[in-house]
Amino acid sequence: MAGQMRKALTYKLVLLGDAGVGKTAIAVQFVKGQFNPFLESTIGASFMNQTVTLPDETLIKFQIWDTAGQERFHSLAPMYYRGAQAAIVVYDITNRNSFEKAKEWIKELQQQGDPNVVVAFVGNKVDMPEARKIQPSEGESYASENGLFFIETSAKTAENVSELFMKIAKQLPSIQRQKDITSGPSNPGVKPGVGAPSKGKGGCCG
Amino acid sequence: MDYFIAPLRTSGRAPVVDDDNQKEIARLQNDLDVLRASTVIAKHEKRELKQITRNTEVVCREFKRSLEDKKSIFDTVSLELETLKGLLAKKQKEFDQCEKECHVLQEVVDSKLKEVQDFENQITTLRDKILVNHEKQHNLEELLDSKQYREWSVLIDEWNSAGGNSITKSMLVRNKVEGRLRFGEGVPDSLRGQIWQILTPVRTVISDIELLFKSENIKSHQLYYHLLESSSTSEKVIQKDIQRSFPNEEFRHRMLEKDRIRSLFNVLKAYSNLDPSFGYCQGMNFLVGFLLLYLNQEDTFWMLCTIMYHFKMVGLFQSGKMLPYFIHYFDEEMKANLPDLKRHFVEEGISSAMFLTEWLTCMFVYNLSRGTVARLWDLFFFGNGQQELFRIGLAILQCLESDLMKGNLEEILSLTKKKAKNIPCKELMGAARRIQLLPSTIAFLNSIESQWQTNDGQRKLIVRSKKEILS
Repeated sequence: MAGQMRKALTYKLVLLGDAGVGKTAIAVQFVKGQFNPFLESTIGASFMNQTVTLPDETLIKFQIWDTAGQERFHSLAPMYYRGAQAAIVVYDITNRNSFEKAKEWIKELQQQGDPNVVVAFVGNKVDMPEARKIQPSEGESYASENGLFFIETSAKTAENVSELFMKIAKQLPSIQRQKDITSGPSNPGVKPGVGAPSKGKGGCCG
Repeated sequence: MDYFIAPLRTSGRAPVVDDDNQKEIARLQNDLDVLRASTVIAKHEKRELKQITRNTEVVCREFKRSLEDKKSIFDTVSLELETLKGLLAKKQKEFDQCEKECHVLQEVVDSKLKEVQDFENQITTLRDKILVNHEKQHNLEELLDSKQYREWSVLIDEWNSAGGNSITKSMLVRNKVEGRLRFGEGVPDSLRGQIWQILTPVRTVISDIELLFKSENIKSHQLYYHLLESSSTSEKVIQKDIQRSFPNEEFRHRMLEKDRIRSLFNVLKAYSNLDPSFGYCQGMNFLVGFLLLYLNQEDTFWMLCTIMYHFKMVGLFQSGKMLPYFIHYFDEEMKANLPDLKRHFVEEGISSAMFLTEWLTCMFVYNLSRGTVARLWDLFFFGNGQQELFRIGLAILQCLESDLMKGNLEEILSLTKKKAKNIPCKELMGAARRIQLLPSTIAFLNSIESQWQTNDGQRKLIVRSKKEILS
């Protein structure tokens, strides 16, 4: 049908958050519809693709950069969030520390990321209500103070996972249209951080 | 009748006009007038009645017409009803048909599901078979090695009996390893762990580190257990990663043997206590996992220290410290060795960091097959350390070049991360051997300083260079 003829709008999306909060699990649940509690730890970053269709038939293709959560890999993160049109910042609702870490990511995105980036603030692991440490209201109020949208998910049961991406997708095209008006139909998402640390010894260690 | 005739006869005979007659005439006249008036009234009434009749007839006609209309509407409606009834019956039939089809489809789905289940079972069986085959291959390799095994054993025994620090004996082993490596071969898998220990200055590393803890009155050979028993702030993070340390099925299978999972945790915990400011970093779990396939936990711990300090890998794990330099020099190598590919990568938005981070920090455990990684580590421990990691990285790109040149961002990343393990070991090792690194890269790798100090800055370890150790 016409669907094959339509060209998908491509967006770069980055997943950020502390180690073990379930970033890879959310991405894998969204892309493959699977859950594996023992996914290998992500080193550096991994890359996945998924396309969604909006109710108005617009095709949105997500280029998902799933970054490593551990602090040690933090210096690599800018390469992945630079030029990203969407970011998902994840914390684990059973882990206070990861919530604080997620707030730090938000701050960093606000300072260094694209000003138009659509940011989702996500509390994962709602399948473990007995271990909950962060109440939804706490996440919700932080998100609204910072103009982010908030959602709680379970990568394990798939609860709210596709809703999360649909919500992001719905917010995207309008931004893209704005950009089209100002800068033509360029697609900055395709070339993440070219030559990021390759400027020489200076790089990020100077 | 008689009564009426009689007066007429009388008047005929003598027409007498008397009062009575006059009266009678007047009365009759009056009657006549009355009759006339009532005739007028009757006529009038007749006209009115006629009018009413006409009106009634009109109403009647109209009523008739409307009745006819209603009838025709009724007819139409009943016709429609009939049609709808027919349609309903048809739909009902269709619905029944659909339901029937649904049942059939459900059955198909069920049977497909069963097939999927069967496939899954087959996959499990195949996976088991693969594992058995790996085991067989492993045994076969050992058998092939058995001839040389004896020679190697003699050498290793001699080295051990010389106290494990005889330079001449270790030189003998080195020479033998060099001979094997020159022909692109590895060392016997079953002796690999011991040979690695002979090739590397692990004993010097141990004594250097033990020296740092001298003031704490820890007996020699007790340091590992001392570190293991102390509690560590990294424990939680390490525990979380233990089950996430298997890059493939074969690895998982092997790690589940011989309590290696417990050992993996212990070694990482002890290391986090040795260097608390550093703690634990993801990637190390893969290194330790691989070492544990060849060494017991204590030896693994010391070999990890050797990799980190003597072979200077610690910088790769420290936040943002060495990695950007490695990426820069690797890019330079790509420009020199694979210029077309480098250009293509730039066009596709690929930075070397996207695959190199994983390759280097896991020393390829994540991305190559066990046999290939073991051979690579032979070279690494033989002495050239990170130069070998660079060579193998470039060799992977070279072997996959034609596919990589055709690929887009997604395909390139998939090739570098997942397909590298499909390159035959011999081909890859051969390509790596032929790669000449740039002098600037070698100079950079030689210049890396590896320092380690404890939180309080009290203990500081500067690992001596290879020359110093051997002389």
